[in-house]
Amino acid sequence: MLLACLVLLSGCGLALWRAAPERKPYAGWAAGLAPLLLLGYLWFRIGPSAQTPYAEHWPWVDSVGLEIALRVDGLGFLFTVIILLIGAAVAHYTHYYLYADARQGSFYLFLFLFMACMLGIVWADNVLLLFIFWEGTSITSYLLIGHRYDSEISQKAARNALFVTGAGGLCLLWGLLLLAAAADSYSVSYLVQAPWDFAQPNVTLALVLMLVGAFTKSGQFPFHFWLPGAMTAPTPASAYLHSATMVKAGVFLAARFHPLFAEHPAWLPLLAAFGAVTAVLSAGIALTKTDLKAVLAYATLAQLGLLFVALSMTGKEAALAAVLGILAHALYKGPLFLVVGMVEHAASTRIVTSLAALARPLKAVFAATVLAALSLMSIPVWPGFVAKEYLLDALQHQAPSAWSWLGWLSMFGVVAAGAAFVVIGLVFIVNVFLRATPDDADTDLYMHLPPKSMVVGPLSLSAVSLALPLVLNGWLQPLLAQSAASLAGPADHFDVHLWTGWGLPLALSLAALLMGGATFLLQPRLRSLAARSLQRLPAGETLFELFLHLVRGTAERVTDFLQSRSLTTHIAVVLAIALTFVTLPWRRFDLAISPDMMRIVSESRVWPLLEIVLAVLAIAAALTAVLTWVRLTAVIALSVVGLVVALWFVLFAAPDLALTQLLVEVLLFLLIIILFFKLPTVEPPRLTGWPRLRNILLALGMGLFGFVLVLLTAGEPFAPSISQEMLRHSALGAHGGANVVNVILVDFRGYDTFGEMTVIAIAGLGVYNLVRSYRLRARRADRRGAAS
Amino acid sequence: MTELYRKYLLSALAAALVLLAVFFLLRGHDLPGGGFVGGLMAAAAIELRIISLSAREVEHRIGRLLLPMAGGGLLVAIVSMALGFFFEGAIFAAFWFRIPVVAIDVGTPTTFDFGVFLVVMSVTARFFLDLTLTFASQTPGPDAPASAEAERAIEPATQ
Repeated sequence: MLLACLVLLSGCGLALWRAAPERKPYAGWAAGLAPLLLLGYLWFRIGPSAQTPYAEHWPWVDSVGLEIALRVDGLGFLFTVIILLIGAAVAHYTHYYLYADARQGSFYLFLFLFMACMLGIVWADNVLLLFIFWEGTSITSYLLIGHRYDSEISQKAARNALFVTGAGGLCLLWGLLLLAAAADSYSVSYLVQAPWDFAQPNVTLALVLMLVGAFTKSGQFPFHFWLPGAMTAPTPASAYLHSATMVKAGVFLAARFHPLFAEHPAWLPLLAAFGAVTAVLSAGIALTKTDLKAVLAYATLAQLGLLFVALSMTGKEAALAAVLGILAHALYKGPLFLVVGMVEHAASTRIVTSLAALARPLKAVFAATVLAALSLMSIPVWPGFVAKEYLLDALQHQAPSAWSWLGWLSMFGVVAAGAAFVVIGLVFIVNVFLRATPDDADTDLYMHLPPKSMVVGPLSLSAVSLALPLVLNGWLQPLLAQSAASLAGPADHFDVHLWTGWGLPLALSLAALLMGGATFLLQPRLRSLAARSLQRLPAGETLFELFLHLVRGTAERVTDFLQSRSLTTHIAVVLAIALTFVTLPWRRFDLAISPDMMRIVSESRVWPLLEIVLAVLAIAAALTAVLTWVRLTAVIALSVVGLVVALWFVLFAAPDLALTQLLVEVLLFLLIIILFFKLPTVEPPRLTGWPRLRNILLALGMGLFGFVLVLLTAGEPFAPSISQEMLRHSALGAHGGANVVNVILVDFRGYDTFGEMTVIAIAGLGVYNLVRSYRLRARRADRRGAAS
Repeated sequence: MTELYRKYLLSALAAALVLLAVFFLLRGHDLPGGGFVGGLMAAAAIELRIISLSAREVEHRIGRLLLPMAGGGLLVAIVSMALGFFFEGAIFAAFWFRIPVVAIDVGTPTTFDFGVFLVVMSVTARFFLDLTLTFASQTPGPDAPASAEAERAIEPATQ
């Protein structure tokens, strides 16, 4: 059923792609309804209150441990709700945002494929499947960021995002495989519960690798540069992928494996340190930005840092803080992004210094903004406030114990980020919507009001945010309890209190609120000050560009060296390298001819004189090929060598090889003869000096190498022979196939043959196009020559 | 004399070679032969036709079939692989059936081999045809001036 849901979502994407949604007025409603219906179905079918997780298995590739194992537990269901709820709002909104875009259909396709992959991540119960879906979100994210593929900025941003998240994905795969090998199981749910011995170095390596995977996906320091770059994506993609869901995949991964690593001494401190540093840094950068989307992007990074801080603790409060934080953030950041899209639509700019007084023309948008911003600023009883109270509470209880300075750093991170969020919320409410005139007095706002239906998405999400406190302890309580239980283990009760009472957490919250308010009043001056000081830091993006530049330069230099423009030099380099590397381990080989081989040779009923005649013929032909200066003679002599080899195959009872060799020789000969038409009729220049010596040495080396290779195969076998085994299987199992060579090719090793066939077909296509383009060019040149 | 040799003897040889290729393909499962050898042989037959007729004429007759035939060969191979999955539960599991009237056993390995045959033959023939058309075309053979229609059929996308 879960698999059917994924297929259904992809099908919706395909249908929307083909249906030309930009011309259908109700496409937005249809697209938004699909995820909502799915959510409703899943809610009633699985439900958040189920004690046992819902799971299903489908076989896929047993031999490598890959199976389609899907499993929904509390945490998975929480993410499912977020993905489908925000997905519905974003899908509805997209139709209006890309109102005149002919590629709206393909945007929908990638959006729904992403939705399916994201659900796959949170449902996967097989580590390989998890990785596949993980990469799926990276790829769909790349396609969505690059929606405006003709803009260079989009290309660059899409590429950076793909490189960073792709590299992180590979690290994740490595880590997952290490874990799977250590526990001898590919099941995520088993890995999480299995007894672990943290003294194994592999487990620590896996931990670090998986953290790299999580931090790259969630844009944590020092990988924080790709997310703000990804803001060149169309706003629906930013709202959905780069704030509400995909960047939370890293948080999800950390949460999923939290029970496994919680006892490991490195896990909690690393999460706390990177989370807190990212929170402080990004909150600071967010205040210096004037582009509303960039502000939100850095605020997202800060919030993700706080979620990692929440995960860096154990126990009930911390688990609740993480769960509430994930939910609250998705519900306020999504609408804020969507609001930015509408502001841009209306005023054709999203630079905050040029915006003002939008509350009157955009009343409904303003309402959505206020509701979301209050949660962002963590005003009491809004979900954002509850999440932060739980986080501070958990920090207060755990901080002084084991890792004191990290605890204080985390505490500072929460307060600093909280203050920054207050400033951002006030900027949205006051600067964009309420104040009378913009900073840049000469800007003249061009008003192009968005369609009324466009606000449905952000407004309903904000309304959910508003309604959330009412149902936190009632209707929604099972969902929160189950997801917190996935993190902290089952507990008796997970009551969520809107009001945690007087104490340090509340005091810190108030302090953050006051600091934020003060900062907002002083904001213009502070912004320039902060911008100046932050400019001195080397930007991660610059370093990344430098790295890419280095890689490309090195690759070019190596290629130039290995593949020079002269064909002779190129072949010489290839042969020399092959010789060097193949003959390096020569000491390991025993060059004696084994008694077995001697016996086979002496027992074969070959007339000795025939062997001698053939050998002399081959040697004579080879010498002719080397010594002659006439090309045609050389080619004919080479063919004679090949035909003699075919005769050898006949003598030693290898008819299949003989046939093939014969045909290949004939066809190759014809081929070379055809190519002779193109060669100039002048004699080739006679080589002298170093090139001649080099060619002679290489030829001798290769000849000697071939000789030694034949001797080696005639020596003691490295491994027991499989011929008898193959023969037996061929006669018994392959429908009486007596020609074991063919049976191996098309039956036992069919995969290999299929791969080779594909290669041949693709190479054929390549040759066809290459030669054809050459022919057309030559003909065009002829025509031009005739015309002039 | 050369004309007669080119026209009739080589054509007869080509026909014989095609028969031989099919023969080798069919007996591949039990005796020396198989799809690869058969495919090369069929390609050699087409090459003979190129020599006896002319590259243009061959291109005009079967040129546009070759690449689709290579794709068809891949398709045949994939279907043979998949049949094993559907009937025997694993990709590439051999699956045999007997054609009732002529009493010949056909199995997925032999159909797979037929796919190999198609791919090898078409790609090799395509290769030869292209090289001959491109590099050997400046030697005017006895039948070089093909009709303008044939010319257009060869290069439909000149513009």
